[in-house]
Amino acid sequence: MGYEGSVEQEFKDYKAMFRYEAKVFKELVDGVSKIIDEGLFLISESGVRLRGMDPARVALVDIEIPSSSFFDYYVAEDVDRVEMGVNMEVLRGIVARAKKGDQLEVKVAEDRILFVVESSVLRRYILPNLEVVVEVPEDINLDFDVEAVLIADVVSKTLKDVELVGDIVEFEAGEDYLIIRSVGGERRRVETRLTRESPALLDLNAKEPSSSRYDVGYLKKMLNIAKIAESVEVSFSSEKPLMMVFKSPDGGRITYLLAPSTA
Amino acid sequence: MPSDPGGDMPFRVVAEAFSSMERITSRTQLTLLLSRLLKDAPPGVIGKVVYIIQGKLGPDWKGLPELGVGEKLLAKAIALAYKSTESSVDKLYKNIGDLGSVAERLAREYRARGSKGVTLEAFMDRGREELTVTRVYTTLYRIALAQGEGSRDLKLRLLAGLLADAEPIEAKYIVRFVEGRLRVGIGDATILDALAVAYGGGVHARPVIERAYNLRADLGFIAEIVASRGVDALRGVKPEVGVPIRPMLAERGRDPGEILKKVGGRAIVEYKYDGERAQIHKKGGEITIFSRRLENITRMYPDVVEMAREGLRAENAIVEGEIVAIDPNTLELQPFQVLMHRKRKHDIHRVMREVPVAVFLFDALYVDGEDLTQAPLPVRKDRLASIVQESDSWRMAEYVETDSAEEVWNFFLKAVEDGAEGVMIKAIHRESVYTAGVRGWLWVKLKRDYKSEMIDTVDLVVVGAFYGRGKRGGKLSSLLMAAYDPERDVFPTVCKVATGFTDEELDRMNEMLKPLIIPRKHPRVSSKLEPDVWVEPRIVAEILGAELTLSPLHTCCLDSVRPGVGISIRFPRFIRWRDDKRPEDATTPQELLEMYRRQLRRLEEEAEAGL
Repeated sequence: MGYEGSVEQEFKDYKAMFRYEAKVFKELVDGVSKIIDEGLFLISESGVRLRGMDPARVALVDIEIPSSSFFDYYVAEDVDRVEMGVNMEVLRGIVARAKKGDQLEVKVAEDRILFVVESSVLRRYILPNLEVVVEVPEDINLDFDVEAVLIADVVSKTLKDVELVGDIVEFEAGEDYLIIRSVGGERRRVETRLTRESPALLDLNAKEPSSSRYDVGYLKKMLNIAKIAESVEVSFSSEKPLMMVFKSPDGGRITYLLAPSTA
Repeated sequence: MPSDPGGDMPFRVVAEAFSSMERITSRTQLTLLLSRLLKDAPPGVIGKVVYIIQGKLGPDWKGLPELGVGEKLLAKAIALAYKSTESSVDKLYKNIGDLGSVAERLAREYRARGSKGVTLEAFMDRGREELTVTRVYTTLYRIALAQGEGSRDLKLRLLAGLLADAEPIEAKYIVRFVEGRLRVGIGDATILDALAVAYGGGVHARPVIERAYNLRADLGFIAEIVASRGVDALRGVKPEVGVPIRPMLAERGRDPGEILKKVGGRAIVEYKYDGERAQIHKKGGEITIFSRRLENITRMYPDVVEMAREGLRAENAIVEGEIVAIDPNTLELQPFQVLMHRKRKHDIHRVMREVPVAVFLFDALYVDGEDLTQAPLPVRKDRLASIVQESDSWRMAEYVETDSAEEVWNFFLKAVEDGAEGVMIKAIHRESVYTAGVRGWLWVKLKRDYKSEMIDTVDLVVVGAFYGRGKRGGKLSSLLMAAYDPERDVFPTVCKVATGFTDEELDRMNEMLKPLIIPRKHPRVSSKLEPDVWVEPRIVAEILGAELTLSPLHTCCLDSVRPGVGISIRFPRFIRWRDDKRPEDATTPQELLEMYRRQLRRLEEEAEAGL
């Protein structure tokens, strides 16, 4: 019996399995690994959820992919869900060379994970299943004074401009306006002002006037991951975390939470 | 408070203990306080508590990276954590003079303002959670591991996040830890005592703990075993390949007769090489080298790694030896300074060729599952010999077994003349075990009390020659040199010289010597040594060495300082040929004796850095 057989043998009692488009997975991992160093995949009947915090515990990434998006999907009947903890940098290395049309198969056992990248050749990787602790509860229970829905591209471009000027971005909202602006640039300033009339502001609900500051670097990294989404829900309160939610047509969802900047 | 074995521990408990310790000056009280802290620590975190007390993230030999947080970055993190500015942190620092206290004060003011932390958790409904030892340790660990691009920012954020969530007193000691000044004055010995009190019922349990520590130089690991399985579990601790053993140390003696008596009459007398003591661990193909101070020095000696990989016929082993610089041409020992010179160089692979080293192995502590530390020395030596595959540069240390003080003396003089520092005299009786980490009378070093520096050159006559080894194989490359004794009209030998010749000079020398080779010793030559070829005393060379030294091998000045012993030159070098001098113009024994006496100085007792 060759090597191939023995690996399959070892993973005979895996608890969960999924098969996904390798290239899409790679892009996801590429983006997320810039923010979080260790990721916790929660695999249940409804789908795969990837949660992780940045090492400074300032930002949280929470990605949900419904089970219907997978080519193949399995979770053992005797478990509610299966946890898969990985170092994102290592995972990035595994899918780094994935090309369009390649498939990725993942089998999760209690202490180890098998990754099979099916390209012109078959590549197998076995990683330890790490214990990854995400400190933020799964149901994010925060009250936001401001809730807005924007065209994602507008937010993305504004943040790019802000980043050229300074490190901090300020979100400010009143009853009928939302402003995104740079803070602390020497002489240059950037500001995007949206009102209810602006086509880019799809919805706005401000319980009370609020303004809060965030690290623009973190936010920009996040928008890179969510570039497929057309719109984004932005919620915040004065000097409290900011939440951004991106939804994809197939029911996928990316939630991003960032603590306010202290600078 | 009995603790949950798998549980964590609030960092506040550690910080409060530090705070109390600062006010204590008596070691007994300190030990007691520490033992209480260690008693409260669950087994899962006691190791981390011990490291934090030591102001480290792990034992030094693990070679963990430094935190890499300078004063400026630390001040920035404090400002960031408490929404202050760097300039006000600086100002406070100038007033208070201690960043830890600055952080403590700012944290208190920050809390009084009802502000929240910087991390996401701080904003969640649960509010602020108390810091645990694990959180503090893990965060510090990640700060240390953050390297390369963007790491400064990451270190800053990690630290600021930790400080923002810390109580004022916790902030103080976190900052002190980062600064590397915990200043609570706790050494290894105090921790060992505290563990004995906490888990062994008193300091009487210390020897067991200490022995285990000596075999496995990792206090965190030892603490974990003691806390989870009790002191008795340590009795079974064996050396582990990859974890350094604290080296056995020697006492110092002066008189060979006395020393022999101390070690039980009969002993192994071994060259004490002048190099770097190395503990070499082999685990399959993986080699790790630890210094005497248990630092991981593997990277400095890629050549030794290679030698060990090929020259140890065991799957797993821990052996000890001395790494010595050698002359690449003659394989002769070089002074310690040459090795130090190599260690200071950066391009190790280049220096490796310029300053090659040899390893002289003298002990085996562990071989393939067998703990040899409790075996007597002869058993360990046999085991060592059975696994060492010798080569020119990977050899058993030179030794003799004797009960004669005279033989010890002669062997000692020969060792010094050969470039060693002296000899080690080692007990070989049944109790001659390897006492890790302990200085005792099982091993006694005999070093020189006096030294006569050589400040002038001498002119000596070539009376014989030896064929070279290594890359000079097949050529005459080492010369037997003699002085001229006009009273007796003989040429008594002084030294062998092989250093200082360029390759061209060596070729020329071979040409010069060829016609002078004679089938047997010249009648006017007096020598105890038998060279590969004898040469008619005709050619004179100027020689300089590091020292003049007593020698049992050479006949110059024989019996004039000590019976049976002559005078020789240590680390001799060829300077130039003296074609203008006749053999009878060479330096006389009388002159050498005067040079020896004039420069003879008592050696100061060196700091106990060496063995």
